[in-house]
Amino acid sequence: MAEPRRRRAGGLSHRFRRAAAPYLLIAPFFLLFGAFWAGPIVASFLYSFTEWRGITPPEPIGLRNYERLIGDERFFIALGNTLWMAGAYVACANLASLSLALVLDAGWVRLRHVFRTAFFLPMTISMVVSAVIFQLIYAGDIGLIAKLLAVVGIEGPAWLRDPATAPLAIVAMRVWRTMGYYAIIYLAGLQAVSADLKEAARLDGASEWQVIRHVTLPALKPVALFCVVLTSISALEMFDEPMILTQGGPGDATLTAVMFVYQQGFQFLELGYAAAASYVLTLVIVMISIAQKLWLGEKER
Amino acid sequence: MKRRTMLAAGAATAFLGGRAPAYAQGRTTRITYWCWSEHARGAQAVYPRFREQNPDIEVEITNLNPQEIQDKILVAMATGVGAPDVGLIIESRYPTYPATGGLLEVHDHVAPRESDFSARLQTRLKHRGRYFGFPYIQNIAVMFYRQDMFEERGITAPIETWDEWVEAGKRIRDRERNRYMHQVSPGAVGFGPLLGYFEAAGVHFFTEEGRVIRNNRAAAEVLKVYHDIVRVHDICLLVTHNTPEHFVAMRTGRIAALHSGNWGLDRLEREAAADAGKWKVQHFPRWRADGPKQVGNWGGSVLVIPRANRNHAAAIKWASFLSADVEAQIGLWQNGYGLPTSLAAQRDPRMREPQPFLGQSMYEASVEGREVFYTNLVRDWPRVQIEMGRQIDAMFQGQKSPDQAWADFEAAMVRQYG
Repeated sequence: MAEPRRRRAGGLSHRFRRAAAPYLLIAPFFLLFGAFWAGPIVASFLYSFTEWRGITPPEPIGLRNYERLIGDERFFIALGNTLWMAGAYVACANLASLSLALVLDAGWVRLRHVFRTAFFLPMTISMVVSAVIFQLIYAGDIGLIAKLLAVVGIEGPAWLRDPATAPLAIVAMRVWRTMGYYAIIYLAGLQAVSADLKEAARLDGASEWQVIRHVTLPALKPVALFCVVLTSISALEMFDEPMILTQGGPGDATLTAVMFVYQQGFQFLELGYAAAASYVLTLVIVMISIAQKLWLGEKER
Repeated sequence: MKRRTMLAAGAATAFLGGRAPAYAQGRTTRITYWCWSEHARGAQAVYPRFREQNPDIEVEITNLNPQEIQDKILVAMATGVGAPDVGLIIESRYPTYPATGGLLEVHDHVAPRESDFSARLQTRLKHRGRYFGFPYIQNIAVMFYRQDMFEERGITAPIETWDEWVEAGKRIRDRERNRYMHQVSPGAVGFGPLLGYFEAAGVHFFTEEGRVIRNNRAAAEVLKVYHDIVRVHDICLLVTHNTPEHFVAMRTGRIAALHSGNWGLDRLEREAAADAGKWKVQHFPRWRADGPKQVGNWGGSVLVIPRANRNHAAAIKWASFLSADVEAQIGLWQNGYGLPTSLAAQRDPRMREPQPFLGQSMYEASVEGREVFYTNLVRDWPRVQIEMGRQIDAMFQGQKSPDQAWADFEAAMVRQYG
């Protein structure tokens, strides 16, 4: 009598094990995803509705952090700076990277591997070292630019102390750092463009510029979309360069949205308010990415 | 031996091992100490003495960026993990910490030796009447100067007042347009040095209760002087301190003087080593000839013990050692130029020994016989710092008069602190 019961129980356990096995196998991913990704995202969203100083328990305050953001002049300054620096960066970085990739892809360039490595190198240099280099380039009378301008009798501005030039100086440094990286991506795209197509265009009498304009660039649009979205997202999260070079100054001329979040969260210990600001920034990034996708995607179609 | 007996014996050993103090088991307690550059060097120098006194405690001294330490300790306190056993906190940021509830109260270890540090420092370190930090070192605002350049222009140091300093600066500028008297930092980082000016003038921005002092004419006057030395008298180079441009100015003789804390000597030794013997030091100029012999700070630091950690006893011993042991305090001065907060250490004859780079005693020349003024601090000091930085920038860019900059700063502070 006991035998069939044991068999039945064994069968159930076996069936359960078989059913549970796939879930157990994928569980580590979901546990890690929940703990280190989804969990903090949800938690910080909930904290954005609280007043929280980190150690003392958070106090729910409804939408007050978001209301306060609307009236916070510095947040809009930071957002404005971020958008304008991001716009300048995305345009310059993509133009520079694409131009560099086109040059490296051209048949007449010798030692292209050396150049490719050389342009990629800034990406591998520590941010602090880069900042020191650029502080010396931008420095008042003793800086490299000031010295070069002095040769032709021009007195340059104090690049990092002038609110008009400081954002540009930061953008230029970021372009220098990342140009090689995006050039490699563009180069990969260029090498995928059919050589037959280009050859056919040349046989039809197209000049080199016409080949680039009407054959190469249209074929590069998916790569360009990828690079534009990537540069946009990274630019909207800009923090290191202004933090090291200008600390957001002069005034708030180079204060970015992420720096604003950092100040509120870590320096003023207003973590709930910082969480609210970071969610608004996330929303802006998502909206811009969608717009870019629609715009470039539409053109591609 | 049976398996069960062995397990029982193992468990008993583990239990007893867990209960007995470390030294009884011949074990060493290892604690971590987070600090930065000159403090790490100072700590390393005095550590052998600590080990002699406490052979059962090992200290791992970690050298980090000062701003990074403040942020990391806050995060560690918030999460309850990852904090050092002892951390060094920038004094102006200290008031934020006790209010979080994350620091160990150390009143019983600090209060008995209150008479060994200044009354104003006692006020600074107390939160609701209790100590949550150990006094450590101070950085008194001083003026380093190039004696050779001063002598070339017939300037005699020490220069007593700001008016005389400005006149001397004009003489430096008159002869060589590319040379400045000293350097002034713009922006939020410029507030650190500026605070030394405010303190030397005996100015508070906040009451002891943390309320803004309104219509603060004395503070507005200091800001005006700070503006004038750059924009009206044109004796100062407007460059952020501790940047390559600033170091080049030190090295190449572009500045004839350097306003700094005592730690500035460490910077000079590294950046202008070739000019050893040419640099001297004097006290910060007085605000008025008939005013008190008063100096301000270029920041000080406080030793704190995050509550979340377990090695409190060992941490207290290390912090007490650095804070109260005369030999340790002298060692910190000799190796990192942090002025001892211990009054007993300040009276030690070794404080009057000359520093080889200067050829004179920095303590005698710039601190001794002068009262150190401590302005009242408030919670979340970076907010004050950043707001003042914005106003300094607007002022130096000519967008605002110094009076307007002060009024705007005061209004922003009233909105925040009342």
